[in-house]
Amino acid sequence: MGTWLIIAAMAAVTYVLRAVPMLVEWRADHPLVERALRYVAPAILAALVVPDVLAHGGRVDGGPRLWAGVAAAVVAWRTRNTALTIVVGMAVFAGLRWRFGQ
Amino acid sequence: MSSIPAPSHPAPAAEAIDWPEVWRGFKAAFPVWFGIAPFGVAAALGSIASGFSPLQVLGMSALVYAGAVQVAAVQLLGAGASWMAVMLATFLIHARMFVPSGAFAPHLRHLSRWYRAVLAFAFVDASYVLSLGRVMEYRRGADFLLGVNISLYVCWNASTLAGLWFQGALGATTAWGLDLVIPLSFLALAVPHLRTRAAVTAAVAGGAAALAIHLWVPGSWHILAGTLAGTAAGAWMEGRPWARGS
Repeated sequence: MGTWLIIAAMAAVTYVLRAVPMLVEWRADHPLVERALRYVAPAILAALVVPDVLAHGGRVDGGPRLWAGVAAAVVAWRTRNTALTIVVGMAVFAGLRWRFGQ
Repeated sequence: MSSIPAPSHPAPAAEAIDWPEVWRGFKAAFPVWFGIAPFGVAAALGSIASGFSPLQVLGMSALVYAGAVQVAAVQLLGAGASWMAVMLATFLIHARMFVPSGAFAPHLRHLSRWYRAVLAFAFVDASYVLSLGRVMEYRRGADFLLGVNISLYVCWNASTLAGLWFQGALGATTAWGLDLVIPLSFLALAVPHLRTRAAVTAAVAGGAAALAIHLWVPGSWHILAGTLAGTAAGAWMEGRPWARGS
């Protein structure tokens, strides 16, 4: 029973954090706010990608993950194709691991 | 005088949901499935190992619906932490959702409160990233977001169920590099945004700040810190006269 109460309380906390900002009515009509909102997307994407590719597990690692990321970035830039980006990134990762066996 | 008709301001007719748009959103999330599913399986296996019942693991995925929060809570409870510690960890790990959720609010304000409350229920980082373009450019882009949310929610809960099913049959997802699928798909989504010098500045500053915080601070603070630092850097760069153009 205690576990279910904790799960319910956790669900309430996660829902409030998702819903409150979305339910507040505000307009992005201040020029500075409008300007800042243009950069949320590149900033959050980089914040999600860079640590995962460069420092998986809490330390900087220049191994297969880094090269997979570099190859994927080149493919994404040249082709704009999500599926191909993932396939090439995974192939480079798998190839380097197989070749150098880390 | 009592016969003056009440001013007639008919409530705007509720717009119907654009179901083909929901389906497009549902399909757009497929590449991310490959990254989420192994994580869902691993999280379910870890929860069972820490003494949760299968029903509790399913309930947590369905109601809490936040991978990092679930993994942290399971570890804390397994280590005998108090419920206050679990609540604090939940808040701290999930606080990052404030920025993407708030950033969508101006684009969703023409929708009913009910609809926004539903959209918020399954809103995760990947929902923001995948539906950003549609929500900005199309009045019913929120229906695309609904499709993405349903898709990711189905995937997460199905992979939790799969984890309970194949207990122990899978090794570490990192060995296969499956955990790379999510960052790689985000990478593909990031590139079209990098059209101006200011956007590149936002990405470089956001990535660098996130990397630094990730190395020094445990948890997921690096995502919030990187988002705020990158947003500020991009906005600052746009204001520089010599940075106009691309």
